[in-house]
Amino acid sequence: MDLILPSRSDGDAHAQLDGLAANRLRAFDASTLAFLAEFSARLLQDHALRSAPELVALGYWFRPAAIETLRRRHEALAANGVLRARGVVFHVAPANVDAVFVYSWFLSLLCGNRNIVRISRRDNAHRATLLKLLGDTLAAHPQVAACNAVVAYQRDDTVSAALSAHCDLRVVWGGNETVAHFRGIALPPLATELVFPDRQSWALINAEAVMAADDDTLARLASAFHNDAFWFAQQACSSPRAVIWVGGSATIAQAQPRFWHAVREELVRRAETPDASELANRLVAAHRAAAVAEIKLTGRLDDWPLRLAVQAFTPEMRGAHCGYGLFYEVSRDTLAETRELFAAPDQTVAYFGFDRATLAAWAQTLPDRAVDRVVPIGEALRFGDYWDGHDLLMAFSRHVVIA
Amino acid sequence: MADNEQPVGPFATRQSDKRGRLLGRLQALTLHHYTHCVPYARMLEGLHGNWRGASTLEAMPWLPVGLFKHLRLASVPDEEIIRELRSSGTSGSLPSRVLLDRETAAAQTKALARIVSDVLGRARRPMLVVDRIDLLRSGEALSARGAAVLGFGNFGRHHTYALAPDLALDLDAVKAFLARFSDEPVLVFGFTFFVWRDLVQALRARGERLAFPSGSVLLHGGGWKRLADQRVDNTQFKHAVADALGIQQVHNYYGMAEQVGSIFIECEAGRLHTPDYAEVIVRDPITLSPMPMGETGVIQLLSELPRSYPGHSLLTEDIGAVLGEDDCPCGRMGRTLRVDGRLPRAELRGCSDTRPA
Repeated sequence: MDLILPSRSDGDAHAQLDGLAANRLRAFDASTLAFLAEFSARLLQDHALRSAPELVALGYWFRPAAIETLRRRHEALAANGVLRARGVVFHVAPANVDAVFVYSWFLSLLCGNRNIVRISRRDNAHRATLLKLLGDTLAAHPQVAACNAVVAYQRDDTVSAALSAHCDLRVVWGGNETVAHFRGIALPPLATELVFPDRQSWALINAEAVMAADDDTLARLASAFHNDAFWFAQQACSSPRAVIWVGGSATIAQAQPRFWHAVREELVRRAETPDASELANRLVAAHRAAAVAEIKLTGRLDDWPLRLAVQAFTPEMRGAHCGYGLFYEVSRDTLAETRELFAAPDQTVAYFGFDRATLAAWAQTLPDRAVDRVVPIGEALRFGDYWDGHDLLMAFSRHVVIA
Repeated sequence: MADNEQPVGPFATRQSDKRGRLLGRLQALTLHHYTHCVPYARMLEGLHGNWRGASTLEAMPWLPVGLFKHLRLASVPDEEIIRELRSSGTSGSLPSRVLLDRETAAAQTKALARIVSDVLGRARRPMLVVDRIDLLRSGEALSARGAAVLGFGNFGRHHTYALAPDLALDLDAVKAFLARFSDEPVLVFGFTFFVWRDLVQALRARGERLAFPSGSVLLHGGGWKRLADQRVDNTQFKHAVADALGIQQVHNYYGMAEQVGSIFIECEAGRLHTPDYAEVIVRDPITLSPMPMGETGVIQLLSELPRSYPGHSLLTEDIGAVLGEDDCPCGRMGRTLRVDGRLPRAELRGCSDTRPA
């Protein structure tokens, strides 16, 4: 096991982990706030990270004003008593979405927990820059540094078991397989677990609203949709994989080409070019989907985005979707008729052209576990302190009732 | 399949004659698979709507070869399937599953025999297999390597394995083989990377050089990726083989588990040859349009052999170029091909990807 952060002169991961027990920070401790303020400022000033919008968003998320909002919410949550930290939180982070481990870690830190964060060894330029920046910031905040350990190790159950045995909360990001794997590793009786398995997300578009939109609105919609779908190559759990069109068939038939034309224009505007290996993945996914369900190609197989008209979403279509600019499209006359499309793994619905009250009423009618977020198109990837149906401030805390 | 019409070998038909003949056969195969393989029919209806009107080889519908990693596709009833091939797959990926009935397996064997004998002659030679001695002993589905050793094994006799179960060179076995067959040409067969690492390099490491009988031939295939990673090209490979084994005649071949039998074999001029059973089309990697001769793109392979599964027209993830038609100095007809490697695999970027390292 390697200690990635904080930097110690002896680099001793076990010494760092042993030290966690002795250190305490309060929820929204002044030293934590100072650390996060510096982290956010450094991140937003870093030129090397400008080209990574998800990291810019991360810096923005932890700026002092945003933290003050969280602090007030945390305070309000404790109205029936006090919120205490859970203790030691062991975070298992995903390999490829760099920002996620920081969100999870820092929210937990804000709630007063000590943290062990396990990250992958896989490296890329942005991540190296992010880790360097984190290391520098931690070095300037020894009190915070003493309460945290970011480690890396090859998949090794003895290490995972040892870390699990010493935590009060285990947080597992990263899909069904990882969740199932960690569920086999015991936790102490009082410890709890927060898991984030595979989820799927969709876009929901009112065809009439697309036809009513002026060119500027449409261009902004296309840009927002681009951010939702094309960052992370459409592979984040909240990236829309399909567009659900609502409206009369004639309106939808007009709205679709208008919308997709604007999306292609946006790709051109951003000078994004299709990639041959991503096309190969799209082709396999499209054929897998077509093999088991009635699917109709809209346009051509080399189109990017690649569009497939479908009647409904089968489990195979959910499972086989690879991202990389492949979109299923399904049409329904009314919002109410979209209900049977949804299933438990559905996480985010990114919408355009519906009002909030309508969506709230509609969400009440969805299947039990389905859909945790209904957000405007453009906000699908925006991380929130409510995630997968959990209030993370609550999840990272223990509510002590004082009557 | 094609025997009666081609008494002179699998590289004798001129391109113009060949394409017309292949087109008819491939169209018939498309219809056959459409009728007998429901998922295939769905894929054609959904994604290749113009398939019925395909009047050129270029217009034929194709399947992406990666599909066979995910779907078990058969165009014959299950009880007729006699063998399931499993490709080794690129490291970390799923293996392909290819289902063979008696007819398809026999057609593959026959095609392979005709192709290889065109290069080696008809006599069966003593054969040294550069693979683990226990390769064919496992009871599971046949690996593509196992299938290749079985298939090519038909061209040899007195099969001797050069490697121990742990892939270590069994030098005693190789030397005993050489001592026994010192006065007739032999056939050495193996996967390119094993020949390189476990025979040629292993000999070098021991400071050994072997002298195979003159006229011996090395036949190898399976891809260059791992050698390219070590910056070894075909020329260096041949030099090293000549140096370590004393073998001058070296033939690479290009083929895949999804189209066993209709392989593309390297001639004396160093080009890969398309046999009569097959055609190769190179497409633009982004627009998928057929590319002019000489230009590099994604390789599509057409083969008239796959009848038990819909693999007669496959878009591969290999990169290469068509070098010529009916114009190879070696005198063989048809298209010649160069293979440059594979498309890089697209990076996984999802948040459910937690595989470490």
